[in-house]
Amino acid sequence: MDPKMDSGVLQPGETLEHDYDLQKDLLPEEVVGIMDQLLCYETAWHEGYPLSQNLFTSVHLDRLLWPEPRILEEASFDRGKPASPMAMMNRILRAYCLALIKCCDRVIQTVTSRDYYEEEDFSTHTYNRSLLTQIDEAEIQQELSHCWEWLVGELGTQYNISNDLRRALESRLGFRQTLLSAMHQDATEPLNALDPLWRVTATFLGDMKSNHTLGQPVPEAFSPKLQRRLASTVPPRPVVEYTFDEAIQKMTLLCEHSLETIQAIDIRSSSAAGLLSFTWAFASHKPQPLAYPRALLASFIFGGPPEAFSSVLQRDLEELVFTEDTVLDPLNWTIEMSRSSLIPHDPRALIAKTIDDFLARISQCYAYLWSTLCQNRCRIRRMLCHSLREFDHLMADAEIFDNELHDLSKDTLSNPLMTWTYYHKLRQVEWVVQLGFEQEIYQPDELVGMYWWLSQIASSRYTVLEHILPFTRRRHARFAKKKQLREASSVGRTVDYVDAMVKEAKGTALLAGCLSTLYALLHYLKLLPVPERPYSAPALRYELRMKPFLLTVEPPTPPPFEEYRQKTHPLGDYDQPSSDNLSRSLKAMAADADDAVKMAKAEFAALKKLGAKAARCEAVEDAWKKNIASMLSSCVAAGIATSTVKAACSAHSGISRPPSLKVEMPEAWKRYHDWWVVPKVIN
Amino acid sequence: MSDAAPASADLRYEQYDGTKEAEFLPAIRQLISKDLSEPYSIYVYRYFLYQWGNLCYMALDASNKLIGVVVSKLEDHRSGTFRGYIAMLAVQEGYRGQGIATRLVKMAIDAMAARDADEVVLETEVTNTASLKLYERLGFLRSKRLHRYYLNGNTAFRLVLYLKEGTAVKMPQLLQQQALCGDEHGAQNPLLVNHDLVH
Ligand SMILES: CC(C)(COP(=O)(O)OP(=O)(O)OC[C@H]1O[C@@H](n2cnc3c(N)ncnc32)[C@H](O)[C@@H]1OP(=O)(O)O)[C@@H](O)C(=O)NCCC(=O)NCCS
Repeated sequence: MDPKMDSGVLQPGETLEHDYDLQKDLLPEEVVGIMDQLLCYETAWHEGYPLSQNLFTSVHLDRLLWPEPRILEEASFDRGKPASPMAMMNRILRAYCLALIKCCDRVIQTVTSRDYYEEEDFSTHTYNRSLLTQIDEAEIQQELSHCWEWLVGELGTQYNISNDLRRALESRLGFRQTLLSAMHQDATEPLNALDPLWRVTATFLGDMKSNHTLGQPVPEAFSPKLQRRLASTVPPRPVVEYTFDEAIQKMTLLCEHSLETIQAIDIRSSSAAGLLSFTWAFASHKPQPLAYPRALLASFIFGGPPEAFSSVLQRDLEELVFTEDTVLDPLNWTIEMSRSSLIPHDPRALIAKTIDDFLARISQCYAYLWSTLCQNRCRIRRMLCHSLREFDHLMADAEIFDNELHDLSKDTLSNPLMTWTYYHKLRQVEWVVQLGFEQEIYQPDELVGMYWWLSQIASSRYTVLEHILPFTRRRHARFAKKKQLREASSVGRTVDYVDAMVKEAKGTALLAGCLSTLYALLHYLKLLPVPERPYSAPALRYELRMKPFLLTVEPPTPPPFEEYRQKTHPLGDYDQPSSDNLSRSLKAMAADADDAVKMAKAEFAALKKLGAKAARCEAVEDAWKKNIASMLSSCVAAGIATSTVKAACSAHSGISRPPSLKVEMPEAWKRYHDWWVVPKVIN
Repeated sequence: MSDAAPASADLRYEQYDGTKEAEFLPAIRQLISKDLSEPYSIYVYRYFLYQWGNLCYMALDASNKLIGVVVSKLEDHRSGTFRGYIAMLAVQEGYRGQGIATRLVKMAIDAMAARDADEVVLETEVTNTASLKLYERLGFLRSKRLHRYYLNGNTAFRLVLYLKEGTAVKMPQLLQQQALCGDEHGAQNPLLVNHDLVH
């Protein structure tokens, strides 16, 4: 049998039973060694590998879990044997294992309470073993405390344990105590206690790293053969090994990410745009957050009373199109609809009903969008492709609701709901394309087209924003004039926000435009080859590329292939450009690209000046600043490329004697910004 | 195996023949399992070869030794397209870099096109440069990145080649309203799912 297929293969003469004696008294250093190996396996599990390939190879866990204990006492290493006083080291190990199992149980509950993808994100399979679900966490905490007290107390000193080893055991028990407590919280409980728990847990990990070498590995306490006894249709797989340093690093990150998610609770109740930037910043961590912290974030976004999440949607509308608008005046919801057909409805009651209807129509799509942003990075891109279509379909409904509002509220932005829906759709289209750059979906010769498309979308987005901006400015001026300071300041924030988004969208459109032109130019100059691709045709590739956007109905929809081809081949075929004065046309293109990147840089610089608060990103100010700095660096790099090409075009008379430049495409991890693929042009 | 690349000139390219299962199936399994990270059971091979043996091509040397193989299938996909799928591809190490795999893949695609396929898709590990280069040179594009697609935790690209216009906007025959939260298809390697089914 192929050992790759089946790591549980028995060698001749081997049996299914392990020959490890669970009653044997363990040395303190062995206990540390076993605990640390368990941490490595726990890490592998968090990374997505099934329990059978890591923790369930532990002889100790196996004994505690099978047959299933009904009460805590039954979960022991000497099952079925007459009870004898357990040696203290075994007892400490048992307490650690019990807490570890309980942590796994919590993790599974948290992850499965949200959207996740089995195996891809995480493996919830427990092979018919119950992870002490029925056993009260407090009992396990008590057992941990008991062991801890024993260790630090008099009794511990009677044993011949060195202080260092005692401390090593203490930090491991402490780690389990705080981790279990931190994981035991959920969104419905008061959360102020959670923050210190995650911090202390991370500190314990630091201690464990420093005294890991005191431990002594006990390889016999783990057996891949145990996989054979687990009910599964999948053949046993190789055990996944992480070093202890890797485990500490990854678990520390898990604590840090989990800690970070707690902020979502406050941000959720203050700003939808803020929550969005927070969620993106969280999803953009490298390495990306694991399934558990992502599920935690989702539970803080969606958890709590149902109003908590629906108020995010209301706030989202308010922050973009309804700031200090009578449409969202809470008073509207206190007025009853008229019961008599003779008395017309109060318009305020009708407004409330229209908004409620719209919210009801959109809430599922809106929740899907947030759930999308809590997925792994690859999934985010794929699910956004679905989400953007839903938003696209919503436009028609939004228009109907807008018409109703139009008759009910005069001093309101025109088509507010459509504007809002459209804006959200466009952002999602942009994200799909930009994540495509990040995930190396596009080949070099596709960049002309994809950056062209991105610039189209971003231009549409700033057009939307420029529809909102003057209206909001007028409203702000009106409040300011009437000395309604609270209202003026609230509308002022929206003015700043929309202004910041205008700059961001404009900068995006310009930089994308620059890169599209630059790449086209490189093709005309024969500096960037276009593969032959004998089994495919450009129109078919275009169709495939635009698939996520083809089924949308609202502009911009992908143009017919011929039009797209013309836009991306302004001078005709890359091989045989047709232009009356080719070298002049090329120079003009180079000049365009150069101008565009200068303007893009100016927009991003202006955005930076407006600041994180204006962009409603104050909760993630550092990440925001870093992001802008990276975009500015991309502009600088693009500027260098365009001016090099421009200079070379001026010095040469065109295609017949192409300039002797060289183009290098940056490796994905060497880019200034994941979303901006800037070529290096070398003279 | 000697360092000098064995001549590939006198290789024969043949469609798999089900009547010779005993002769070829063990060789195919051996060749594939040597290089692929996924543990495919015998049932997976049979699943493909019984139904789509005519989409499996082999490169054989003068003594009928298997040098390269491509295994694929073609069926209606729930997206509404008639979808070809390249499941496995491998060439003996000493014979690589001579265009053998390219030729096998071309034969499979030609056979699918002749049977009116709309598209051909496959997955490959993001780090498999040789495989990416081979398919992309023919015209495949990357359509998605699949996080932890393989059991070993590695990430894949899905590569797609359209053979016909209108493939992107095809709809399932039974136009079922797709549930919002359901993804278009599960992420994990379908070969392993099949494996589970037949067990
Ligand atoms: C992938 C595989 C089938 C290619 O077989 P092959 O007969 O060598 O392929 P071809 O000669 O037709 O083409 C391969 C291309 O990749 C290139 N290539 C090969 N190894 C490479 C490497 N390590 N890095 C970059 N390119 C590489 C070849 O040079 C050739 O491109 P070129 O003609 O432009 O030079 C073979 O490497 C193999 O069996 N690998 C193990 C199994 C596997 O990975 N299967 C595919 C999984 S879906």
